[in-house]
Parts: sequence; C-alpha cells; structure tokens
Amino acid sequence: MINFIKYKNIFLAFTAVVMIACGVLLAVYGLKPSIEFTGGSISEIDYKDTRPSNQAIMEKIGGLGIKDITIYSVEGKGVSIRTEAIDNATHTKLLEALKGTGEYTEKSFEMIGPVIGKELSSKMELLVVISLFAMLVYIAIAFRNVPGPVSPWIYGAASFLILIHDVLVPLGVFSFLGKNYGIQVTIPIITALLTVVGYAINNVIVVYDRIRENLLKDRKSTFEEISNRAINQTLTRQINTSVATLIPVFAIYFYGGLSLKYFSLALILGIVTGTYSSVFLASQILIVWLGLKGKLGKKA
Amino acid sequence: MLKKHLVSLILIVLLAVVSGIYCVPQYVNGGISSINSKYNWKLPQIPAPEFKLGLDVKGGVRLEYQADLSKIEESKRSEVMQGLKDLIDRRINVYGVAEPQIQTSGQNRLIVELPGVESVQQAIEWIGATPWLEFKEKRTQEETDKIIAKIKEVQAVQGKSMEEIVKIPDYQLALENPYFKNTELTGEYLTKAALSFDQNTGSPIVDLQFNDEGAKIFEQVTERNVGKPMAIYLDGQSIIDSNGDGKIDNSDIYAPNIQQKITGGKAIITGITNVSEAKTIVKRLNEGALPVPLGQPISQQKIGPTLGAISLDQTLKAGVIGFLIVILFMILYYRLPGVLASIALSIYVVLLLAMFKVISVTMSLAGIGGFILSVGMAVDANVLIFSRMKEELESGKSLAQSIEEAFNRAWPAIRDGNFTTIVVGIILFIFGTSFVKGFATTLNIGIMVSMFSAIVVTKTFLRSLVGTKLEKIKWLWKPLA
Repeated sequence: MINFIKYKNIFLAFTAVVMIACGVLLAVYGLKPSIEFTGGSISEIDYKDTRPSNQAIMEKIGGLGIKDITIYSVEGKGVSIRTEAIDNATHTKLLEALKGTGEYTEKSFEMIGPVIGKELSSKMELLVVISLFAMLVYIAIAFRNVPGPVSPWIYGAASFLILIHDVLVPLGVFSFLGKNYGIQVTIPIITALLTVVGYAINNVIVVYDRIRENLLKDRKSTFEEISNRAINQTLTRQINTSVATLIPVFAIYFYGGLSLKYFSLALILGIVTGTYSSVFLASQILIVWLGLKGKLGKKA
Repeated sequence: MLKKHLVSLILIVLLAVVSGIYCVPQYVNGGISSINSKYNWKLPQIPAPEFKLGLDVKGGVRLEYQADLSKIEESKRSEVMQGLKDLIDRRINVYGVAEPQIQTSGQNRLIVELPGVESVQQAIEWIGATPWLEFKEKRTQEETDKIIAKIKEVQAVQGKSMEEIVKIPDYQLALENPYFKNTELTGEYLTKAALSFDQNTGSPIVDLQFNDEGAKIFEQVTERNVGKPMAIYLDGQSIIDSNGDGKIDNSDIYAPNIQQKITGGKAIITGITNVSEAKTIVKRLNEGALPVPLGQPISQQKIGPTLGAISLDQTLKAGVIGFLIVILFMILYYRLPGVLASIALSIYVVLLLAMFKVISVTMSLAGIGGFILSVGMAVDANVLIFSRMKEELESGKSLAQSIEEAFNRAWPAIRDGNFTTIVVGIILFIFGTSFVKGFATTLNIGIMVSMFSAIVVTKTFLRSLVGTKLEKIKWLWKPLA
C-alpha cells in the first residue's frame, strides 16, 4: 500500500506552485481568444501551384482599407488571412484582389460580427461558472449521508477547488501556447474544458465514494488511514479509466483533423490533470481541513 | 448458466444485428439486390435514411442575421419573425438548395444553414433583398396573344443554343407573363392588410390600406381595370397556393376582380373561400409590405466541401484507431471479462450510431468528437465493475457471487460519475451555440447508452458464463495487475 497521505504537504505544495504559475501566466499573457469571441474574419485560402509570400499577398489586399490584417502560412500550400469583421462586399473585393497572387480556392470563410463575439464570451463565462457550482451542489447532495468527521459541504467545497485546479492548469498551458505559438482559444476548447469538469468529477466521486464505504464499515481507523486505503483501492481504476479515455482522444489528436487538434489537447490536459488531482489532492484537501479544525488523528 | 440467459443473449444479439443493419443499410440492400436478381425474388429493400451530417462536414454556408424589429410593436414581433422565416424558406426553395435549415433564434435572430452551397456572396444576395410585393393588371387580349405567340416561337427553338433564341426579334417578350403586367403599385405603398368579416354574410374579407401616394396610384389602376382581375405577386410568384397542390409555383395565380374605381386607398378583397385562406393572404401581404430590414449577416461561415470531407475522414479514422486500441487494452488487461466488454462496447457503438440515425442527430465534427469521447468513457463503467470483481474474487467469493457483488457495489459510483457528466452536458446544451449543442447531444446520448451497455449487456455476458467450463480456467478471469 502506497502512502499518499504522508507526503500530502509535498503534493499540495507542488500543486500550489503549479497553480500559481498558471495563474501568473493567465494574468500576464491572458488567453488568445479566437474570432468567435473577438469578432473578425478568417479566410482559409489554398493555392494551386506555389504559395505566394506574405508580402506579395499584403501588397494586393493592403490597399483595400481592411483593418487588422494578419497572414499565416498553413500546412501545404495554404494561407490563413485574418482581418476585422468584413461585410459581403468587402469580402468579394478581397477575393478579387487575391486573384493577382495566383490561382486559389477559398476553402472556408468565417465572419463573426463583434456583437456576437461579445455575446459568446459572456455566455461561455456563464457556462463555466454554472457548471462549477452545479458540481459543488451535486456532490454535497450525493454525500449528504456520509458518516465521519467531514461534512458533506466540505466534500463539495474540496471538489470545487479540485475542479478549479483541473481547469486552471490546462488554461495555463493554453496561455503559454497562445503567447508563444499563437494558439487561439476557440469555442471547442472551452467546450472541452467544460467536459473535463464533468469528467474529472467522476474521478473525485470514485475516491470519495470509497472513503464513504470504508467509513461505513470501519469506525476504528483514523480518517487518514481510511482515506489512504481508499486511494490505494481505487488507484487501478483511476489509471485504467484515464488510459481508456485518453486512447481515443490521443487518436483524435494525432489522426483527427486540424479542427479538432486543440480540442483534443484540451481534453488530454484536463483528463491528466483530473487524474492527478483525484489521487494526490482530493483526500489530501479533506485531511488538511481536518487538521485546521484540530480533528486529526481521531477515530472516524 | 448459459441456458438461463439464452433469451437475453439472443435479444441482445438481435438488437445488435438490427442496429448494425440500420447503420449501414447500403450493404444489406446491395445483398438483397443481388439475391433478387439471382433468384428472381422481390424482397423489399430496407429503408435507408442517411446520417444527418452537419455543415462542417458536408460543406456549406451558415449565416446569422439580426432583424431590426425596433419599429414593430412587441406583440407582433414573433409573428413577424415567423413570417420572415417562412419567407426566406420560400426564397431558398426557389433556388433549389437541398435540405436548407432556417431557424429563429432568440428574439430577433435568424440562422440560415445551406448545405452544399459554395458561395457565401450568392447566398447573402438571395436572402438579402426585402420581400417584393407586386400588384399586376391584366393585359389586353392583343398583348396577350402577341406574347403567347412569341413564347411558342421561342419554345420551337428550345434546346438550341442561346444564340438561336437571341436571333428571334423581340424574343424578350417570351419571358414576360402573358396575362399580367406590372403596375407601379408595389409593396412599399401598402401600409397594412388585415383580416375582417363581412357584416352581412359573415364571410372572410381582407382589408387593404395604402398610403397617400399609393392611394393615388391605386385609384388610377382601379379606374382603368374595372371588372378585370388584379394579380397579387410576392417575390415573383403568386401570393398564395391557388390550385391547392400544396406548393406555390407558376401554375398558381391569385387575382381578385376590381369591382369599381377606388379612391382613398382603402379596399377590400371579397370572395375568399375560407378563413384560413384569408389569413394566409393577410400574412403574405404584410410580409411584402413590412420592410423588416435584415441587413448584412452578423456572422457567416463557409466550409468548402473538400475541407469538410477531409475533416470527416480524418476524424473517423481517429475514431476507429482509438476504438481498436481501447479494445486491445481491455483484452490484454482484463482478459476474458475484457473480451466480453469489448463485444459489449462494439454493440454499444453500433447501437449508438443506429440511435443517431433514428433520432436524426446532426453529426457535426463536434458531435463525432463527443461520440468518440463517450466510447472512452463507456469503458469506465466496465473498469469499475471489473475492479470490484477482482476484489471479490480475491476475497474468496465464487464467480457468480463476485459478479453480482461487483455490479451492486459499482453502481453508485457509475451512477454518480456519469450523472455529473450528463449534468454538465445538459448545461452545455441549454446555453451553448450549435457546435456546443451538437457535442453535448452526442456525449449525453452516448453516456446513457453506455450505462445500458455496461449494466445490461456486459452483465448478461458475464452471467451466462457462470457454470460453464470457462469459469474453471482461473487465469482467464485474473486481470493483469
């Protein structure tokens, strides 16, 4: 039996460092929101023969009065042209002007007006907040009858903290990716993180459920012993489930289309973080709480 | 124990086979066709509805509009939006887009999805124009004859190139409506149309009200057309379905008679057969009369069909690879129960896909992603059960007991875990945009079906093996760690 409780201070300290790092990243660099949130236009162009240089393209479209033009090269012979939100007529003019750069097809075009953009970002924020609180309430209700020194609300609060951790870490990674590689946070990524919220809570529930079961059967050991046993008993399950879920998600990451790549990355980060937190944080937070209340070492 | 569960097993296999056939009916139908031709039988083909594919997979255009309802009073707003939606629906139908989807969203938004359309500009142009209402008067017999003759002339040349047609003098006449021609009276002069009832007969009539300018034009038109019909056209076609065939096309015409010269711009249309026809006329007149400016779309997306097809291809490939590796993992780690779970998982996949077809879930890229994720999560329930089983077996219980205990003990964790994911899924569905909704739908349905698959299917498989020779072979039941 591995002792997960003994070194809880190390785990918690490590986690605290990671969380602070992510917090700092987010505060300083922020996230790079996609045009779905900021508004704007993206045109994905595929060239038939040779891809012209960004300058060549800029020369042709720069004089049209379109603001915020950035041009990225895309795998193969494509470019991605991002601008402020443009209307139909301007879009047509843009495509006309591009004809001078070579033969091309427009693979896809997206325009989000600023109104919608703002709406979406507030909607997404709302979604995240609602989901987190829903989880807290759910756990408190599901564990309302749990015996032992820890009240259901503390289980709920601990889960809440864990979920924040499970979302914060991937966001921190995306902040880093956004700053250094220009990776944008799109709606699919936010959706992935929300899914992680729902999924990560599974892992926490499995451990807490085992603690509850052990508490019901054994009123002689201390809470620390009981929870440690619970972690060991559920360890295999935690790892196996995560592996099983990660396999298809990794498959999507490597083989799936570009559109789902960062979506699956968000899922991968979230699932891994979630597994870590359910083993190294879930019970440990409860025990720290007990310690603060001076109830450590007592019999359950 | 195999016998005891034979019925359940057969039912499960049957369910799997039916789902499988429903998923890929083309193979079965192909087989049926060849049997039919070989033996000269007439076996019926299986109905084969296609999977409903999202825009990002099929390719197409998605436009979102915000209607300016500031000048419309509150109570009429949803009516106006509904009218707008129907109107755009009709316009799109004229252009022959397959399976367009038009929805109102919120108070004043309209979402238009046009699969297979390649040009965003074109789509916007189709939709953008405000409804066009026209009042036409009847031509003189002379005019009518001339046009009909010209049409015959052009039709004789039909099939030949445009150059041949252009050679015929005044060939443009053939494009005109032979019976009616335009007046200057259009929708911009109509202020209101309303439904009312004749005081004496109680039959439905339509009240028309034109503005001052319109009243003058209306006076002139009615003066020269007393006793003759006036046709009302919306967007180039008859305003209602007059021949009762359920659609509005060139064979419909709505042209009530003008009974006298009308001054003051107020008129009534009588002779309407029933109330619902009158209501339709009023609604359509108001559509054409009320300029509810749609303006430019507030968001647009266009996915070229090749991009869509490639993305679909890649994602499906990823799904298959993922699925196979998961099964491999299950079998290697859990051995015999793993094999059973893999079969159960395969049944789950087939069943789920069949359900998606039945419920007509739109398979967007997101939806497919959600489906693939749910496959991974489906394994979770099995893992929970098998872990328990191992514990029970190690504590010395028999296989039969271990199976029952495992399912009983594992259920609370399965229930709570999956329910939380569903709760998040529901939140996503209610508040999310179309991408999010598609993902939430497939994920939620997937989770629920996976619970069924683990609890019913895997359980039956396991139970049926109790008491058989396989039970005796201990290592088959012992997981790797």
